[in-house]
Amino acid sequence: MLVIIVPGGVMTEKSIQVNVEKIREILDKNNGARIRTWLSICSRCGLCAESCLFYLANDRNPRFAPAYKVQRTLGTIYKKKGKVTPEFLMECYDIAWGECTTCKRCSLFCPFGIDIASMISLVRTICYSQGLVPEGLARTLPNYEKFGNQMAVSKEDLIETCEWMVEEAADYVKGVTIPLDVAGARYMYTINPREVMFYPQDLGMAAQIFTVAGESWTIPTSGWDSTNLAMFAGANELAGTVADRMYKKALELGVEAILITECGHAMRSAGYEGPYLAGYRNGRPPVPVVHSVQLFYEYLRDGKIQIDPAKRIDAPVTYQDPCNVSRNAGLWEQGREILKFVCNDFRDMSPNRHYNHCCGGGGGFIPMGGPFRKRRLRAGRVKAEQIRKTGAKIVVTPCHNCYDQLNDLNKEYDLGVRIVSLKELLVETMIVPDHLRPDSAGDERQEG
Amino acid sequence: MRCPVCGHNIESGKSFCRRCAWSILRTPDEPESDYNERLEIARRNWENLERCICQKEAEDIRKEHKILFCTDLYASSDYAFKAAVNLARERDAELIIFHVLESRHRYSGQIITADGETWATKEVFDRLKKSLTDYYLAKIEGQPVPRIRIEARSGVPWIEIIRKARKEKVDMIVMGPYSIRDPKNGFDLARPQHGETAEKVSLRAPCPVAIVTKPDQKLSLEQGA
Repeated sequence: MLVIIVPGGVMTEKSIQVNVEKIREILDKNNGARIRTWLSICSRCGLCAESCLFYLANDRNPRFAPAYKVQRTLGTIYKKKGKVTPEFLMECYDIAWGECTTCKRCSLFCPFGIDIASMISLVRTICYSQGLVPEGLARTLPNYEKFGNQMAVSKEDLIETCEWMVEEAADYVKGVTIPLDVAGARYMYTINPREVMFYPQDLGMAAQIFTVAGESWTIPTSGWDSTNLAMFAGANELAGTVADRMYKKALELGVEAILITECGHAMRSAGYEGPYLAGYRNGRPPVPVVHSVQLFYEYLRDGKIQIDPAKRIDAPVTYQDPCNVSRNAGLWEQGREILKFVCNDFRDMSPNRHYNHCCGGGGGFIPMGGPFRKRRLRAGRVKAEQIRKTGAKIVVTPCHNCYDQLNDLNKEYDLGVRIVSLKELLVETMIVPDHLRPDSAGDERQEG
Repeated sequence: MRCPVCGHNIESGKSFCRRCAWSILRTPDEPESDYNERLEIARRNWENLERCICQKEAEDIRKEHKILFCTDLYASSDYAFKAAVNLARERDAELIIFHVLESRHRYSGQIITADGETWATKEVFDRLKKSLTDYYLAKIEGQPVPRIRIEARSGVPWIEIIRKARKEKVDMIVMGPYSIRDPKNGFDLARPQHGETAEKVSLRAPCPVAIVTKPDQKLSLEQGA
């Protein structure tokens, strides 16, 4: 199905009319030394092919080699100077969203360090300019404009969910709160709307961890969505607005840093692509950005959170490195250090750390929904095999995208594992200090 | 004698008031001024407490009752509907018929309907509300229910049910067992016979939850609940 986005966010279906002028405008804007060099320097050596999960999952079909994908799409568009047919544009759409998760693994293997993911993102921008974008992503874009978040969560719903979770978390930690819009807090905790809509316990667990660690934190009631599906849809202008909204809120509250929940692409957006999209030419966010993995590691390292030795996990555990947290934000060791505190039997996948494979659900694949489901699960075969080889019973991942994809893979490939986030693991194993233990009314009644 | 704090009659032989728990016996070495101060504080507290109780009772009287009936669109919910209708009639309450279209992914806007996976559009909800209206209104026998509202949402069922109950401040959630028994496993009394949704709702709901599994089960709300 083709989805055409017209101003105002109304979507209609119609056949594609190629606007060559618009494509040329985008090509000219990006026709810098970087793209020119990348496109001309690629020697088709094929080293990137073996690095790509789509290539591996599709029986090493050369059509899935990253170099081919980028030459077939962006290379051809440049060669034809934007004069392309609607059928060709459809093929670009198919490759840019259906055959690449922009995980950037291929760049690690390219002898020239060509950033193929960035070029695929450019293809997405071109497709978007022609009204071609997967429906699942397109549906979130008006929500960003109207509600300030991808899932159309109202401010009232956010506040109500926080209140609900405070009530639940109070059963485990005394005095737990979710401070909203507190100026001068140390961290502005930005979340994924999925947590409010589908997984509110995540908010409750975060509140428990921050209370036990004695953290100064706050959730803003605007600019709280750190996700950026506009970035994956190729809607660069909107993506810049989304990232900037969060930066401006952080500046307004005067916080020390923006804290990103356990979400991969939120880190990619807030930490290193958002600044460019929002027009910060030095590429640095105006407020430092910290990922939860880093903060949780610091809590354990500094003893702010202590793990109950009796609750350490005995079952074999493995760690799924989210591309945008490990490979692209360099936090692969911190994730493992956390697990050393919590588990007795940690088994790494192979390959791992920054060389780890994408789960197959990144780059907007999961929100793209049903039409891409089959391909997503097929691409995830590589990850499923990696997990099976470790023999682990628990897979830990600090990314919502990975979490959903791994749950799907668990069913599809019958892996028999439990998927957990770091928060779940910490809440299950941490020691709640005596002064924060809730008064147990039931016990008192029994004693009385 | 009368209690100096609440004015309640203290039974003879008792050293404290049964209503406000004020001890009429003074501590032997307590100065008069301390006793008077203590008495004054107790009187003030009692006045505040009484005011609170009265306000709460007044609110309860004013409050309109709401019954949230959650349906999974299976016939197993029909008994629960019958019980919810009875209760709504008895308490002159508003009956909210609520269904949640389940999302397959916790990330995607796609939902599962009888026709398969689709996007949660207004048309899908309108169609669903119409079929809920047709189905359930036809099932009401005898006296009409004073007020009925039909609502639908998409998401994770137990989360949306609790969200709705909190938002509407409902008095009771009435639902079916939310479980489709696997014929392969047979009937096993040792295993719980309700599904994940019923289990999570009953554990986390802000109000009483009735899971109705048999026909003609009667429900009741305490006065002022």
